[in-house]
Amino acid sequence: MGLSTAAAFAIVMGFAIVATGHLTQSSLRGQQEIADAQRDQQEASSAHATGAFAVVQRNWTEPGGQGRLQVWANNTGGVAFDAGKVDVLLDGVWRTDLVAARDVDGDAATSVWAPGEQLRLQLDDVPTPEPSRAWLVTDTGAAAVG
Amino acid sequence: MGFSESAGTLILFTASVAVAAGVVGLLSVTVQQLVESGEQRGQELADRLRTDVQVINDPAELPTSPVVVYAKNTGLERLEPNGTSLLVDGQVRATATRSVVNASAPGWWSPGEVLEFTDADLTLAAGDHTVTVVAGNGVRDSLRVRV
Repeated sequence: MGLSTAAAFAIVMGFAIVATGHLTQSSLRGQQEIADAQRDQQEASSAHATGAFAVVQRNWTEPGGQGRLQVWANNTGGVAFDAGKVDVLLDGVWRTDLVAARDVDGDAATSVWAPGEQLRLQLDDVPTPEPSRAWLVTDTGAAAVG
Repeated sequence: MGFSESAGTLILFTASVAVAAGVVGLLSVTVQQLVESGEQRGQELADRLRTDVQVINDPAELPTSPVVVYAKNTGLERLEPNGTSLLVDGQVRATATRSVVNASAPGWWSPGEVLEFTDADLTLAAGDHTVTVVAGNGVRDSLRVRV
């Protein structure tokens, strides 16, 4: 009788120990995952808060009868943007597909648009007449019109 | 006498172990369900925290023939375009079609990409309107636009 009780108790206790460890590990994994996500969110919020840019110049030409629009924008904020993920809307219509060239301070190989640097976008084959508004949006959602 | 006592002890021992094992088996299913649901909730919460979408239309130039709304994935999570909804002035636009204009992976709306909603059945009166885009996990963004 004593041995039976002890064996059953040992089985239940062994399970309780294993189950507690399992639950604790799972809980720690979940907490770590949420903490990582919260850190990512805080970084993104910081980028949203300190990211800013301004369109400083635009130029319209019609080489060969096709419209070419060039836009220059300065990063006036405190964070870098991804130059390759800047979208362009011309008179409200998404036309990033017309971007033929983009460079940062003359460097076409980089995608880092750091604070204080100037981004140039060149859009070719833009339908005439010249669009009245060029709306630029960065990878973080910061926007400016030119 | 000795034999029957030993047999009784053995039966009692076996029965105790069997009952304990049964109880442990039942409890282990419950524990496993707890672990799985906890991990799923944690994953969903983490996904929501990493999700961010933004309506990027020019507020002064909303295309109206047809109505076109652009949303950018400004978060860190890859989203499903078909799970994303468009609301205009608080009304769900079930007739709106959606496509990722610069998709790098077919069927997905990846970070940095633009999702385009087109609603040919919607006519907007002149004035101010609110467009809202809601990702499948509930993360949303709204923009006031002028027509």
